[in-house]
Amino acid sequence: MSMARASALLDRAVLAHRQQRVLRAGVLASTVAFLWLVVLAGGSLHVVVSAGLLVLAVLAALMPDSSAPLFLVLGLAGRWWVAVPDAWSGWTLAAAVLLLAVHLASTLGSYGPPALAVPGDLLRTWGGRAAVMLAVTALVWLVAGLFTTLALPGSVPVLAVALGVVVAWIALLGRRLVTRDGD
Amino acid sequence: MSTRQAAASPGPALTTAGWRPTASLVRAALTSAALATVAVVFRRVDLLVLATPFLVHAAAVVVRRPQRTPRVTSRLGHTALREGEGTTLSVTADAGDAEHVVVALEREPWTAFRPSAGVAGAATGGADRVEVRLAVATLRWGRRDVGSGVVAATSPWAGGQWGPHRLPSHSLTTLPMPAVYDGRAPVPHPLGLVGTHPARRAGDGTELASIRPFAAGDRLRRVQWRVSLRTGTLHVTSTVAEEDSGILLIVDSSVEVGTSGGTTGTASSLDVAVRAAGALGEHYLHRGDRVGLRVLGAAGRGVVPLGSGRRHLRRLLDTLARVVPGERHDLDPRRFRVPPGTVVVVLSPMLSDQVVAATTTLAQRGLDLVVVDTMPDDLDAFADGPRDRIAWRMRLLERAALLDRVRRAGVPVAAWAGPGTLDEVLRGLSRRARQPRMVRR
Repeated sequence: MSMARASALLDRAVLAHRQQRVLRAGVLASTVAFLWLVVLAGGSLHVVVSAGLLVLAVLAALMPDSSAPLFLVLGLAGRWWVAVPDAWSGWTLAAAVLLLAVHLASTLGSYGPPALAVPGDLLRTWGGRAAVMLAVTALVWLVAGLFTTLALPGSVPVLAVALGVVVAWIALLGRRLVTRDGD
Repeated sequence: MSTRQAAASPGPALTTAGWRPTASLVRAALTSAALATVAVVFRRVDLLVLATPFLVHAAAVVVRRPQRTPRVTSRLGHTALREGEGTTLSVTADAGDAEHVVVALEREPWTAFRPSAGVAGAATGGADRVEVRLAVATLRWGRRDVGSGVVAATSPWAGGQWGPHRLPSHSLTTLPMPAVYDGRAPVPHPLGLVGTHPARRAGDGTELASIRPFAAGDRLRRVQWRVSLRTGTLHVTSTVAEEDSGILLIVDSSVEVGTSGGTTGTASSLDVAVRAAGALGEHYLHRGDRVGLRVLGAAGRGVVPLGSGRRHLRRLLDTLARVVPGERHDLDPRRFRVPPGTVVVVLSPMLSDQVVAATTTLAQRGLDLVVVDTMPDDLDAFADGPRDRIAWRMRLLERAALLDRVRRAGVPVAAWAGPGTLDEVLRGLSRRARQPRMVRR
């Protein structure tokens, strides 16, 4: 990133609306909380990785409409995968909430320039959407807990079906991302 | 004078291109796919839980795919304003499948917005049409383009983005600030038909000229009964006729001294000249006089012949608004056609030899001439640093010599001070008009 572009980014951040500053601070705060959650869930604190993720969080806060939030979310999820033991717990649900917070704060921050305040009715709509996403997540968490408690064994056909579902999902999403609507 | 309500036609509609995936959709899609794959391959149910919100988001976007793109037009509420006034830029979108529309305007010199950043958005709320409004004001007289910027829209669940696409600009004319001016002194050579200035001849008016013996044709209501009873013969009151006058305003746009701060800061010499010319024109036109304008330095479009009325005032102010500082055309005073009896008011910082020569040439033609000095008082306003100050002090000494030359030619010089600036000068001209003098034809 050139000095001129960095300077322009900082200028825009200074002129940001108060609501945008709260959203971007939310990205940073959720990242810090997630890294702390990893420790609480039984993982270790890796200073270098954590510092790198915090730098990504700062970039995501400054440029929510860039790829920085994507790498941040994947990085945090990857950190969870590597650091946290394979166990179902309440921390998992909390981690999902924090990842969603990073995602939604970045989404709301990318509706326009930093000086834009997202209208109140749109914020309320997103509040409802977040509630739906969290409700489904909580349901999946409960079902996952049931599977873990019952210690159901995995099998090749089940794995194949699951992989098939995932591949189909990826194909559908890939087509959606490539196609331009309304041309 | 009220601003003209503009029926400005909307700019061309923007319908180019379609929806494209947002960074949010890409994030939801890739995160859900990656975490789901790892969860299935490595049998990590906790990763599936982490992936679930992203799965829901991506699924919702797939279900609510936008098809119809917005159609946007923009319109400026008024195309002409006075300094310090504002208008509204309305951007109307036939929303299509958009959930939110945002407008961001480009910063232009001498333009202010509300919101101050020039950014505003609106949610469609399911409606077919949404309007985004921003207040726009220009801070300095002139003609400039405003309203250029970009517009973008976002579909439901922030899955698709339309734009940003450029918004066309709109031309806005800002007329000089309505400065307060009032003058009580009469103009020296009224020569018109109707007006408020006392003329040299007798006629219908309000100012007493004399009491004289009754003559055939005098009106009975003019009979002065007291004098008539005292003298024994009928006497009547005669009044001075009231006529209009011609005033030619000459604005020197060839040089601009100082930095203009618009309506909120310091005024440059050209700001003073343009606003003073507007104030004088407005004052004398409201009194029924004829006012003309000549912009020194303007290429052809800076000429307004003598005229009267509200429409003429608007034409005068429009011409002042089109002044461009620094142009150097047409300073030949022989091309000035000035009717006899016209009072010429030259508004200039008197820094140019050419302007001084033009002024003295006009004075030698026998015209009543007044110079309004528009030079800023404060040297600090246009001198940067000690060297600049010394250079300006030397320049001002030369200018003082030029002003002496103008005064020796019989042209009074007055610094612009708002109401009453020209009163003493015009009274002096009136007294001088009654005395014989030499002129060069």
